[in-house]
Amino acid sequence: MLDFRGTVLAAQVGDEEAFARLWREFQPGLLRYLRIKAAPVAEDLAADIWLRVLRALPTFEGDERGFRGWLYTTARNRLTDWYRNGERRPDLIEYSSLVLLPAVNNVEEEAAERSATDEAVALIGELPPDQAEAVMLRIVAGMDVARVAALMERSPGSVRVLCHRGLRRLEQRLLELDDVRTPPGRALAGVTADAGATEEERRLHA
Amino acid sequence: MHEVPMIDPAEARGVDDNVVALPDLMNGRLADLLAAAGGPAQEQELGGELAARTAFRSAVQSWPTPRRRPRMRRGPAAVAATTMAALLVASTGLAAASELPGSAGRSVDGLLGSVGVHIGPTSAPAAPAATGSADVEAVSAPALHPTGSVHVGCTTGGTVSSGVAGTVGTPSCALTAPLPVRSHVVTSSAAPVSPRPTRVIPTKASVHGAGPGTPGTPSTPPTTLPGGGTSRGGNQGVGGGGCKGGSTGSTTTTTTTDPSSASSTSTSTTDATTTGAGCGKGGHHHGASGGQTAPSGSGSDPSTP
Repeated sequence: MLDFRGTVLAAQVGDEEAFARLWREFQPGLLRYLRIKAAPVAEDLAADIWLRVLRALPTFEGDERGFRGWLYTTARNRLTDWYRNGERRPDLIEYSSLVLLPAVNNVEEEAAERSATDEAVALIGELPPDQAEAVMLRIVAGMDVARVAALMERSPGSVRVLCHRGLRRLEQRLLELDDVRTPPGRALAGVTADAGATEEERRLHA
Repeated sequence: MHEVPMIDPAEARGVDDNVVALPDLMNGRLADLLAAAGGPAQEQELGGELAARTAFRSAVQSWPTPRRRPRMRRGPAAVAATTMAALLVASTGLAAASELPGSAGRSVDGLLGSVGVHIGPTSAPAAPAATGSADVEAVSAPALHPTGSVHVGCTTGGTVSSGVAGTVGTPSCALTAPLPVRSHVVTSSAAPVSPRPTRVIPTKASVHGAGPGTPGTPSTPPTTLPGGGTSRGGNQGVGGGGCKGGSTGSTTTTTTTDPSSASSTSTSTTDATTTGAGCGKGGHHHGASGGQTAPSGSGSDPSTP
């Protein structure tokens, strides 16, 4: 458990190890939040956000919740700048370099490489933007309703509704994925094998 | 990262969309998904640590010199009131010892007379031993300063310039504007007031703030009287402006008089503490949701003659 206050105080006087602990504590959540908002540039934005935090770190006063609120407010402001300044442009790739790109049609391999966290974040990212952000800030960032409401410039009730609907959609999406990933035949074969099916039944359902 | 989803199922009962029940956040696939989304850091998420450390080292170079404790800011009224109280006490002691020159002595007498403190001229009775408690001695009251204004010389900005030179160790200052507080000093009277009858002054006083956002206003102040005793006054106000802040101050003055040498020494200490809370939470730079805390600090502002 991070001793937040001591860590921040140490970082504020130049302790690099203290800052590193702080960074390791908050960077994963920040990256996951940025990945649902601006996946292609999440890491670049995160680095820029930390630069802004570092600039003002000596004057920070508050607890962990306050720091979290400050960090995500900075992140949101940076995202707004990113949207407004037209930085959200598709990267143009030269035709000649296309041959160098790896094959992207092996979905099963990609899925296998994804961790549970990546998959979870990706699923949350499939939600409508406001629902995804509300769920992310509440669950991943661990912020309370009031702080999320202030950050998203919405009422607390609206935030609760967004979270509720987002979670319902996630639940439905998981059920759909379960249906997709579990072919009917395979499921039945497993049952018949365990139940001691006859040789003919196994041949039919193999 | 958090193992337990932050959304309380009970909380969802108050949601507008109460026809559909909230999904089970503690068990099942959804709970697993949420736990994974908020799970511990992954290796690839920490890949930028070296760059972050480099950025930190660069940033440290550009930070200002080590932070000092922020100077406690007090409003000009609080500064003026505190300075006034300290000067009054000092002047009282000096006047009691009849060490002030004539005009200054009259000014101080007038000032003190407006609050019922009367200091006689050289005919002050022999002071009993200082007891540190409520020793009270009644003295006669001189007239107020002819102009009826406060003439002890404090600028509202709180700076103090030397006034009565050569006689008093305590610098006096010239009041250039009426005090915005309800002070015990007379600021509006235009005519001299006839000497007041003697009366006993209590030694304990409390000062209460006049309401949100206004500085503390003193009530009947105690004074230090010749022969010992202590004076205690305080200012208490409630800060406004959206912050639940407060300031408390107290001035403790002790004047002792040595009967054998007819001299007195006076020391005055003013302590003031400003605390604030509620100006957002969490940080000086804060997110939209109150990541700030109000500046807090304490300080003492000793004033000695």
